[in-house]
Amino acid sequence: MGDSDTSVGRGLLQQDIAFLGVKLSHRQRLVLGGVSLAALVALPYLGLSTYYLALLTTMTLFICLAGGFNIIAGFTGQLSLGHAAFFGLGGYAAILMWKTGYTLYASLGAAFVIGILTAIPIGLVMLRLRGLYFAFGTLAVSEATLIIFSGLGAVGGSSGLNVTSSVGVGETGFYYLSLGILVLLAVTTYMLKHSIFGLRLRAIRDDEAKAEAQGVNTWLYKNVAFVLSAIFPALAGGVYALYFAHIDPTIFGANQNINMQLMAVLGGLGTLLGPIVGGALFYLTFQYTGILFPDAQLLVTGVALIMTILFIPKGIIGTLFKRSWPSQVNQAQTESENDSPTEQSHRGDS
Amino acid sequence: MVEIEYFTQLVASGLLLGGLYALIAVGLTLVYGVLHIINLAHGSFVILGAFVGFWGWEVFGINPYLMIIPTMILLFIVALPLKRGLFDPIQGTELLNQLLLTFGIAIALEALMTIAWSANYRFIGWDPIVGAATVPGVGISLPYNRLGAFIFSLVLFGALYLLLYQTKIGRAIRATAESKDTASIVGVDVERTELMVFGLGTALAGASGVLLVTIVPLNPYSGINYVLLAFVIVTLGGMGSVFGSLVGGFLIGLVQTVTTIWISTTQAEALVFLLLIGIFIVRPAGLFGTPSEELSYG
Repeated sequence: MGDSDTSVGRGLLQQDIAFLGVKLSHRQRLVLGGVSLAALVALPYLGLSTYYLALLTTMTLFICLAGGFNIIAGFTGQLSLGHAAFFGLGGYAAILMWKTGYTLYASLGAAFVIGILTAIPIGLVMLRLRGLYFAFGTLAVSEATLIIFSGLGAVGGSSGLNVTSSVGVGETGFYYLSLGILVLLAVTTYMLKHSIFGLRLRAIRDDEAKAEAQGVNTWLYKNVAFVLSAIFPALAGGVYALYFAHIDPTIFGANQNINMQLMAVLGGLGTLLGPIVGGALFYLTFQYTGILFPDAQLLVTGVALIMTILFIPKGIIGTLFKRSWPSQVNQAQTESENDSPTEQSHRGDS
Repeated sequence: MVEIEYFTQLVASGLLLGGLYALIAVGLTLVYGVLHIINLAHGSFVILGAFVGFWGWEVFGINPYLMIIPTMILLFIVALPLKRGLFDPIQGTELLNQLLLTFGIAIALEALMTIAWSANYRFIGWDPIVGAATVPGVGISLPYNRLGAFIFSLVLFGALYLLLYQTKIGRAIRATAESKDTASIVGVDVERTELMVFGLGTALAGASGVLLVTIVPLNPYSGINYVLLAFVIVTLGGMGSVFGSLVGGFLIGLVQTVTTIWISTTQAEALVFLLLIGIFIVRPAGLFGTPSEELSYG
């Protein structure tokens, strides 16, 4: 009994993945991830032009946005439509700190702290609501923040704030900063996928009442996930604001929110690679239509959303990757449910 | 202390605005009541109607109030294939899918309108409705355009009431809203009813748009504001309750106008959102919604 329990446990948290017919074990995927990371770190030294580096930096920041949304929506099943609020709040915090004379790291630290400090009360208030109401509640928060910041002279009103002194880390510096946040995000998402905490979050996502009935403290977990999901947009916002040396209230707007959601859904909610793929694809398309057909940019976003929901609601990663239980689990399952005809028919599913 | 006259003026303005707000919201609540989908593109349909009305007036010199019916018909026709093609596939699916799809439709529609007609603000500055009537004795002024919008909104509301309570299709709509399965059992053609309701909701959105553009300038991107506003009203009044959106519309119109005593107009807009949050905390089902209704889709 003990053996099948641990193998089931491990199986639940470490699945095999088949990508276009190629099977990859968990270990192989870890190695692939490590190699990709090494390549990304080495990139600036491989002679990449500043233009592409800047492209990658901004793209990475957007991926972090998608990643934050992924944690609260993809893993926990709570539709936070106003999550860009944390992006903006982090950005404002960082710029304000910088303009007051604090160092870069202090400013980013402030973005981090503000992200947490604002997420806690917003989460506590909003998470009492479910589904649609939570969605609109968070959207209302973002829109209200936009209006409030537009009218607040202390943060520059509707023109926002500008950074006049150079941050001094150069393109490469910002690249590494955003890469750092991405790594943090990837590690956190990985841990969510492979931990009991993450498992419970997904239980909440799949059926909150059932999770509660099974003893999961849904209130606590939802709030923790919410705060966790706010950290990445906040940090990304801090870097973004200092990188572009500007921030204004439009960062709280519906556009920013919609981009976040599209990236995450396009890539695949609840997956690790989803935000990365979705963010990259979206950002590149966005940039190129911006250059070629500026008016059509918004149309492309809208149509992309429609197409994604209609045809690939699971997202790219969700649709392409087939997940399966390792063979040990298959055996353990059929042993413990040996007379159930429905389970017999599921044996050998991959 | 505020002058009583000033206060009554604000109340009157609030009520005038509220009538139109109610009309903007009622289409959303109808569609939700029957289809159980929150159509985030609702605001964009309002703007579409506004533009259709605007072009009818600007290009052909047609009386804007006469543009209401043609706009409604046009939007009804536009809505039908949209429903079949885009809304049917997502019925009953996850909330995220519904919200994102309708939001995608909203921005695609806004982008199309911008490409076709530019992002300029449009306004129907029709001479006969410029100026205001003064109520004798009380001394409050009622701008003609707002008065007109108010009157026509109520007329349309009245027509809606007649439709819902005095016609067969109205009964079918109410039955389907209450319980799809039971309605189907007693012989209601649910699919056709849903189609009708969606068309009706969109048509009403268009009508409210025509009236709206006689009061305020609008551009293709104004849609989001109005769908959020409609949502606040619908939440306040109760999802799916037509009467609720009437009451909610008046309340929100009043709140928005009266609070300009203390805060600026833009901040009054933020207040509406804060109000929404407040409603959620206190009574998510709204004034006239059923509290036992499921608050989430799971």
